[in-house]
Amino acid sequence: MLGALIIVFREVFEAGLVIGIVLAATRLVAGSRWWIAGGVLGGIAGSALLAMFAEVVSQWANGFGQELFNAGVLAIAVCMLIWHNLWMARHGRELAAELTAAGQAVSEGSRPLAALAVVVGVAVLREGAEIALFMYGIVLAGGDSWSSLALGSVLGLVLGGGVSALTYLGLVKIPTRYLFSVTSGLITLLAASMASQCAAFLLASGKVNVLSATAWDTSWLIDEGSILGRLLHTLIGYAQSPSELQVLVYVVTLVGVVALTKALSPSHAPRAAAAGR
Amino acid sequence: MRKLQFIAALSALAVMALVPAASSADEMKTYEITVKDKVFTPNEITVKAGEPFRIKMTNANAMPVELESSKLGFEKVAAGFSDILVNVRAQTPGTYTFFDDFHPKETTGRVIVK
Repeated sequence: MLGALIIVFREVFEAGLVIGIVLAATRLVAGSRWWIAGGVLGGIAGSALLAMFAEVVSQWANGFGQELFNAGVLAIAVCMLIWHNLWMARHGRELAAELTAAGQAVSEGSRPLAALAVVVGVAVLREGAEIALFMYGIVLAGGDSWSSLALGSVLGLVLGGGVSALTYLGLVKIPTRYLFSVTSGLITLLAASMASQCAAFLLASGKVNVLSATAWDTSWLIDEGSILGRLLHTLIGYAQSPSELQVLVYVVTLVGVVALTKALSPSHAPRAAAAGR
Repeated sequence: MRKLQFIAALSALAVMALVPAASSADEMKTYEITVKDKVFTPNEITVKAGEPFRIKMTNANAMPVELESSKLGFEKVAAGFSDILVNVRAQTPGTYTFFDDFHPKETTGRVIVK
């Protein structure tokens, strides 16, 4: 049972963190819970489908469909995160100013909410498909251990929900006037992290072969498989032996998002913000 | 929104520029392993240092197997009774372990790079 619990928990850990961050980032936007719940449900439905067709997906692209699929959904998530942050850079101030009278802000808020729902969906989908396969395997294998494995899996899922709750509760302790900056920062790091994972999948598929050499190896310092390693992997994109392409993509995404956010935020470019509306 | 659309278009172009890079993957040496009843056969393969290679894993169980090695940089699920391919980057000499992430302690194997 413990084995199943650990396996499932490890898989939901990353999605749990992402959901917690997104919940905190959109805490003050009415209706955000529904969007996020929709993202989670969509991700779960997608996971079940993906698990069902795992073999078919695997066989795409001469056996590298899984990698390309992962790279594709990660690229979509990165675009959504960037979109959200840029949008928030323009409108965040107004949102913060109209927190209590959220009337207009809500309708405007629906756009980044859709983007974040997609991000949540992708986070759930990527890990969920493996859990679905694993649990399907348990059912197939049958035997005496069936119920204890199933119980372990369910407990693992519950613990993953706990990670979301802890992340959320920890973040919302931050005073409101800083919360926006903190969650924007986290989302920027998340975008860079997912972009670099996308690059890793493209290299793994063999369809991209540039800068594939290992940039450095820090496995002696932090093991990617440890809880700390997984936490850092999700939050800041830690990889113990990244390829040069991963490092490049990470830095470009990070610098690009920060520069664009600066350029688009109202105090720096009031006219651009006005034209965009 | 025009500025955003421009940025989106630029990023899309950047991605497209990267993707079609031709691959020489098809000439890579492929090592075949099978996993059955939680055991990899063979559970040790020897490869040349400095050359990328492939591992083809056949899953002969009904249970899915997730072939993983953080050191060699792969993590891929094989559904029951199916096979998968993984590309491995060129490595420096040494011994690298891989395992089934669903049974990380029991189901392990090694790649020896010479």
